[in-house]
Amino acid sequence: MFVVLDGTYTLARADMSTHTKIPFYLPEGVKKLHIDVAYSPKYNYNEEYGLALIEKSMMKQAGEPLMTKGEMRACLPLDNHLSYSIDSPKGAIGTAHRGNDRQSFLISEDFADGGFYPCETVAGEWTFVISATCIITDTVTVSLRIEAEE
Amino acid sequence: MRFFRCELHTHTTSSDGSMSPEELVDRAVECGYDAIVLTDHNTVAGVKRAISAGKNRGLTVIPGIEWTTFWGHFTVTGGTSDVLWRDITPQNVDAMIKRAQEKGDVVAVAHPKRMGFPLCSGCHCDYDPCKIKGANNYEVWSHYYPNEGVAARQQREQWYSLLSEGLRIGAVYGYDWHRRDDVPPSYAYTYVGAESASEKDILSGLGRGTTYITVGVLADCAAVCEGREYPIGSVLPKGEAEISVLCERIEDYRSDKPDELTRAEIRTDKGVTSAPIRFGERIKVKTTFEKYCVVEIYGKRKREEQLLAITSAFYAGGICDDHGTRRSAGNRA
Repeated sequence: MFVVLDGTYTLARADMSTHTKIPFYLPEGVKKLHIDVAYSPKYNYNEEYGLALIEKSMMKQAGEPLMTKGEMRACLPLDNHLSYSIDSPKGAIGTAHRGNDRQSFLISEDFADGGFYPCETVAGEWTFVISATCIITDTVTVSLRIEAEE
Repeated sequence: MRFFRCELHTHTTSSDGSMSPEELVDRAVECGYDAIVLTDHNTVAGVKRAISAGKNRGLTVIPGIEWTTFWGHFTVTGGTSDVLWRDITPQNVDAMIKRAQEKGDVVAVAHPKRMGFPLCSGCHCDYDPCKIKGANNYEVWSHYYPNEGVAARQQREQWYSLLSEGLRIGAVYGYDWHRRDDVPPSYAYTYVGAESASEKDILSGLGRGTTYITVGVLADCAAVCEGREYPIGSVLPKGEAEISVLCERIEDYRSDKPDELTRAEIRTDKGVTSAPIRFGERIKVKTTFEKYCVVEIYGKRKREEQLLAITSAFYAGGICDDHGTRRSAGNRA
């Protein structure tokens, strides 16, 4: 087992609704990929900010109240949401879309989990894509570690 | 043709659902569905397992995906298109919908008026309405309490607005099923008219818009025009049509069942005709329309009058095939 990639990446509010592509290279002979990805912070605990943002967004989207103050408060704390995709040299191999701030994936020819498809771990340039579905903190720091098993 | 109970919007552990594909299939069988579509967010990783489990349990599982873009969601049913969700933008979404349809998939706008950012970013449809008009179907109802609340009202209003423009876009419900609910507080079914519950036939029914959505009511509904009977979703010759409606209770509906029916509303681009209706008694209402005709069924549930069922439209004139059915893709009149 050897480390293919071990990095941290910082996204800002302005990166919301964008895809950040992180290339990595796999040599010949790799049989499995182990991927650990985490981001922080998950939550924005500023209640005043959260309520104001919900109310403003609600009026912009619906033009009328969709929920009471109490219902809005029940939605707090607001949280960041990132999705991950992987492209092999042969094309896209799926997306992991869930709210967890820590996720691990295994990818091989026979097995894959988390929303990815089993595929050959062929040599060449791969891409890990971070899709910023929601960022409600000033910054989000993503740590990504990819290990290869021969 | 008969109507099959379908759930068109489901998730598993392959995205953010809590049920495995096998658990989803087991639960769908327990709930009496004839067919489900697996629409995990931006992945089809769970489809093979769900189809295999469906074969073992006698449930049709249709491959699908939910394009979960930053600006709106779409359920894409059929599993044949090659569109990558990350390639969809506000500028090209109409072309992407068309591309999926040309490959044979059926596209529905998902929960377009649900609250999006910052609670469920992307859930609210922020696309230019002009860019989503090519979709086959529209989730008029979604998730829990589908016939109540502001989002349900706004979705229904927008769907009627699309029909008023002359578009042929069907009404569907999306449970947006993420977790095992023993008894959901209130939910609906989409019934799809098809020759059988096979993947091909259900997909064909969805493409034709032969659907109705309901909380607890079976709606046998057809239009008779020039001596010929047409199913929901059909394009009728212009002129007078007789709308025939017979409603029964869904006996195994697990949430609050309707107590009684009160009226059927025949809603067209020319106005609304209301007629009293009761369970088990067929009514026939004459109407004329130039664009669309929708049947809504009202009744008492939890002692309050509610909208209990909405059919997709019958359409007037325009382009139709030999069977009088709506074109399945690129559905502009």
